[in-house]
Amino acid sequence: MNKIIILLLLFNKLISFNEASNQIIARQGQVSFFSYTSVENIEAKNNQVLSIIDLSKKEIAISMLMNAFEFKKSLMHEHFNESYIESDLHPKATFKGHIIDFDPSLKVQTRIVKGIVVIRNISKEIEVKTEIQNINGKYSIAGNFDLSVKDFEIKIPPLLAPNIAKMIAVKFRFEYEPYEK
Amino acid sequence: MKEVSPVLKISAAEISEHYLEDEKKSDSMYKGKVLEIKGIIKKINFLNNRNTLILQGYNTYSNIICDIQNVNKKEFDKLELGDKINLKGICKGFLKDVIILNCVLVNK
Repeated sequence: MNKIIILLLLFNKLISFNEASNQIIARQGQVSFFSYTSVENIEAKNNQVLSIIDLSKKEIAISMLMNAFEFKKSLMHEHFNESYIESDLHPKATFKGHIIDFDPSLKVQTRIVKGIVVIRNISKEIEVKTEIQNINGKYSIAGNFDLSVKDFEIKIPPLLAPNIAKMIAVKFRFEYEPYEK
Repeated sequence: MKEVSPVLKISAAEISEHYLEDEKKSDSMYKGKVLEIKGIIKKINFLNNRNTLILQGYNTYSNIICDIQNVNKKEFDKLELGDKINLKGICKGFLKDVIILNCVLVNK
C-alpha cells in the first residue's frame, strides 16, 4: 500500500515537473500603443508586461498593469488612467489564447494567435498575426494589431474626441526564458 | 523623484511576501505610493532599452522589478549582482513580480 502511495506521489511530481518545463515566461515584455490624429500623436509604452507560453498546449497568456504605461506627457498618463481606462477599477488588461499550428521546434514562423483580450472588464475575441522566433531555445514573439476605442466602452469627452484616434495601433514584443517553478 | 520623501520604507522580501499573500490588501497599502525599498540585486538587465534592476523577492519565483529613471551611468555601472541597495520608486502593483517604476538609487 505504502509503495503504491509513494509511486503515485512520484508520478504526480513527474507530471508537474513536465508541465513546468514546458512553460516559458517573459516578465519584461513590451506593449506599446499609438493613437495618430491630425491634432496630435499619442504614444505609450509598458515595459513590464508578463506573458507565459505553454509550449505543449500551444497556449499563451498575457497580463499587464494599465498604470504602468509610460507617456511623454504626464497629463496624458493621468487622462488615460483616470478617465479612459479607470485603472483603479480595472488595474489589469489580459489576453488568453492559442497559437494556431504552433511548432516549437521551428526557428522562425508566422502564426495566428486567437484569443480573448480583456480591457476594462470587457472581453473581445481577436486574431493577431505574430512572428515567433526560436534562437537556440530562446523564444520571442512579436506583432501588431488594432483595437477600437468603442469596443471597450471608453468614454472620450467631445472636446477631446479629435485628439484621439478611433482605432488604436498596438505593438508587442516578448522575450521568454524557461519558467522553473 | 530624488527630492521626494518616501511614504514608507520596506524590504524587497517583505513587500513581495505581502503581495504573494494578499494582492488586494497590498495594493491598498503600496500601490501608487513612493516607497523606499531595501534589497539585494539579483539581476541587472537592459531589455527594451531600459535600465532594470531585479531585486530578490520572498522566493525565487517572485521578485521586484525596478525600472530606473534618468540613469546616472557612472553610478549604475558600479552596481554588481549581490549588492545590497536602497532605492526609491512608485509601486505600480503586482503580476508575478512587484513592479516599481521611476526608481532612483538612494545613497546611504
